Amino acid sequence: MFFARYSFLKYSVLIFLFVAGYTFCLYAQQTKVDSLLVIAQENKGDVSSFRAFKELGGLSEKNDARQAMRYYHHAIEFPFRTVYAKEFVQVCNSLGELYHNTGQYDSSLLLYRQGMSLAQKFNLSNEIVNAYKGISLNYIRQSQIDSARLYLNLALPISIQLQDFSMQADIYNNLGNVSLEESKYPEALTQFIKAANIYEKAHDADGLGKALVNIGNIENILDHYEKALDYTKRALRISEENNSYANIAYCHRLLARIYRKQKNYDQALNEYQQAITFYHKRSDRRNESETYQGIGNIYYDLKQYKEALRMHEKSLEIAHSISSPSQMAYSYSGIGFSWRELKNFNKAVAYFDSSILKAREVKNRYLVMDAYEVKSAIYAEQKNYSEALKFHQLFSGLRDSLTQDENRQATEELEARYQNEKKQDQIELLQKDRQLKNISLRQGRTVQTAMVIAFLLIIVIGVLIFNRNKMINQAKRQMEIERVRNQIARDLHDDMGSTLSSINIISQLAIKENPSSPFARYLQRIGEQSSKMMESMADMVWSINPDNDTLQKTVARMKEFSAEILEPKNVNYQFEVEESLNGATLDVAKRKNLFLVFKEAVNNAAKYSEGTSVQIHISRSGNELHLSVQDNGKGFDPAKAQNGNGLRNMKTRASEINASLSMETVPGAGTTLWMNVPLT
Amino acid sequence: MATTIIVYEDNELLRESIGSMLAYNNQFEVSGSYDNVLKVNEQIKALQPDVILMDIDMPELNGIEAVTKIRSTGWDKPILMLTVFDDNQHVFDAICAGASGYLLKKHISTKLFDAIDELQSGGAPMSPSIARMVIGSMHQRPAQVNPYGLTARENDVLTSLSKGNSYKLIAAEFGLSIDTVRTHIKSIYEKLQVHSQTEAVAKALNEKLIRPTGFHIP
Repeated sequence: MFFARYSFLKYSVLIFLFVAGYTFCLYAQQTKVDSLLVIAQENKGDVSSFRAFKELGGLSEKNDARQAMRYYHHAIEFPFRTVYAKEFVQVCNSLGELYHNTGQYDSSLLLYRQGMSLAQKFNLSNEIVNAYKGISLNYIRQSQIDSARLYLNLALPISIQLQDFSMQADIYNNLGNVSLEESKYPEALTQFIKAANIYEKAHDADGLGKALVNIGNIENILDHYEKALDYTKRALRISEENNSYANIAYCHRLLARIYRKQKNYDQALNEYQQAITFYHKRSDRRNESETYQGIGNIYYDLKQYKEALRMHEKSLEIAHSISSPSQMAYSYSGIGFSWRELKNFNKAVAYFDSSILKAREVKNRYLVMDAYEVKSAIYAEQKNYSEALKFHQLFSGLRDSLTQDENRQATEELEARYQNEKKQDQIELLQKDRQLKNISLRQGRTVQTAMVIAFLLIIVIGVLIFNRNKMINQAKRQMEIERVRNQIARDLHDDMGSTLSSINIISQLAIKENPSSPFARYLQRIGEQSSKMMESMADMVWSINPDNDTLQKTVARMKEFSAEILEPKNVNYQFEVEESLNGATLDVAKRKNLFLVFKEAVNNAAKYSEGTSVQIHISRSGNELHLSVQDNGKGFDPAKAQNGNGLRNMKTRASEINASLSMETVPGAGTTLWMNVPLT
Repeated sequence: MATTIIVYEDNELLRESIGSMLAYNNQFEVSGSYDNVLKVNEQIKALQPDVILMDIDMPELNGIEAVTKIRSTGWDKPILMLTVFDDNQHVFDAICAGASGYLLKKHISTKLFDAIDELQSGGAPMSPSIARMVIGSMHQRPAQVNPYGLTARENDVLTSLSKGNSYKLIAAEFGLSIDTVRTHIKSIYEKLQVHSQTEAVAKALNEKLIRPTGFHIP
């Protein structure tokens, strides 16, 4: 009695702990999701919110594919930044995978390609391989076998270079799948075994499961049932240990197919049912469709034709929704067979016709051939002998061409060789004849050749000279246009500068004339605006001058500006420039925006901080330029300043050149501004 | 005694504004204001100004040629050039021709009076862009190592200035006083002008425009 009570206690404690733990995990995860959502919403445009969306996508991937895709889409709506280049590419690849799993192959290709070109630009080998694999998988689904193989072969050397064994094995596995699609079984078997060996070495259980199941599949096709069951059960065990749902489901399907071949229908149906459950939960439509076909085939074998029809129709529905002509071809065929047994011949023929159409689309000649055979049989049963004959001829014609393709190639080769040998004798005779003639011709020909070459040379030189002149004239014209344009620009600036200066002077004089006049503040604004305008003009002219494209020039101008603003206010300042900058160049947009952000920052430090010292630091690390402006003033409340124009302008300028900007301020303890500018 | 000034500026509005501004200050008196420099030497002889303000880019005869003409008479009082851009090659040429300094037009309303005062007390402000142009012009004469004859210290100051450092920072860098820095800059200016003048004379000699004896330029 005591023992029973004790066990009961033990179990209830365990259950309680389990429930509590699980609830806590759920809660923790939900809190994590909530906090990520907050980050994402709050910092729109920021690196951290991009990362938040990416993480959210990753968390939802296994459970809610559609939500994950939505999160990932939010992430790639962000402007592309070098600072998170790798993660951006990973998001592209993840989205590609999700689209593939839901059967949207074109969208998947689009995203994988986007990821691929970005990854190539930034030399992210890992991600390049993932993109290649994803692209090839899509091509397999769309039955473009050569393209699929091409991309896999592109990925293989990279994976060998990276010494990533799991990746290598994956590629061999996929190459095996490609050979399988082409019915090249020995080749496929070799590749799968290669993959399995590498997976085992790399302790990659998930991959090993995949490879083993593929080997099992081939053994099944080759009718080695015991071996097939053996490999597949091994694969299932490993996949279950590893929780690889895709592999587990596939193992069940393969087991079903093996059992079917052994006529063990009950077990086969059982296995299929387990597979369906997996696929349906994860919205893996393509595999769901294939599995229903398998179930339909079993019911057909069991002569339960109504059930078989139902299953094939279900498969068709799904195949249609993912626009897979290959799947639809098989489904139509299955439905056709079912109607035939149900004695509705018109419907059967109609469905076989549909199957032929779709099969032709994906160049599956075997399926077409099967359909011809069955149609011929159906017409024969209906005593429509002319139609039956017609289709039988189509069937045998196709069968012959399929089986004799190889033979024909061999014959043609032999024929070509035979013709060749005959010709050789004739050629020898002619050669002797020719040798005699050649000697006399040769002399004449040399002179002729020389003349032709000389003539050609003259023409070529003439063309080159003509082109060169044309280019020189064009260049001269361009320069003239440039000169006139520059002159106009300068005259314009001169005029504008002088006039603005006058407006400035006159407004100041007017204020001096009557400082207490009611118009004083308007005049003050006129003066300020004209001053600002002259500043902007000068900045603009400086920015577009190509002589100013070195980083040193920009730094020199920044130093000048600092002196101009800070020295009159007796603010101590330190301007530190790391030597490693030398030689870097900045394009127009970068130097303009960098300088303007710097101006704003120093102006703020001078005007609003009421501090006594300012530290400016410029350095470079790798491909990035770092600027920091720090003052020891009174700081400000960040919540209040968000709406001010100054901060917003700085952020806009920074994002225009893909630079990141951040500001740290503590009321009473100063403000620091950081900016990182990518140099390429 | 008020400082007398002649203003040469072809933009009418600006010319008048400068005139009004100077009229406001008792220290200065505008004795003449013109929109061209065609008769500059006669006007100087007649009005005897203490300072000349001159726009660099004017039609017909431009500021640089005018400065050359003025200095060739031996008139040695301050000439302040007015310009919109300070990276203007013309500014450098004007200084080599003998201008005493320059002022950006955007700074007229705030710094005109200070600039004139500084010139009159012998100062000659130089900006980093001008410093860079001086250095640039030195490198264009590969035959001579030190074409302007600058001392080592003057070279240091010039180089530091060309990197954008203010006088204050230059002074701190070399442990000098700001006044010493100013003196060095003034010396650089003078050597620049002397060098240009000797160059002009040498060129004229080569082209046989003046006789080598009786060194008298009318």
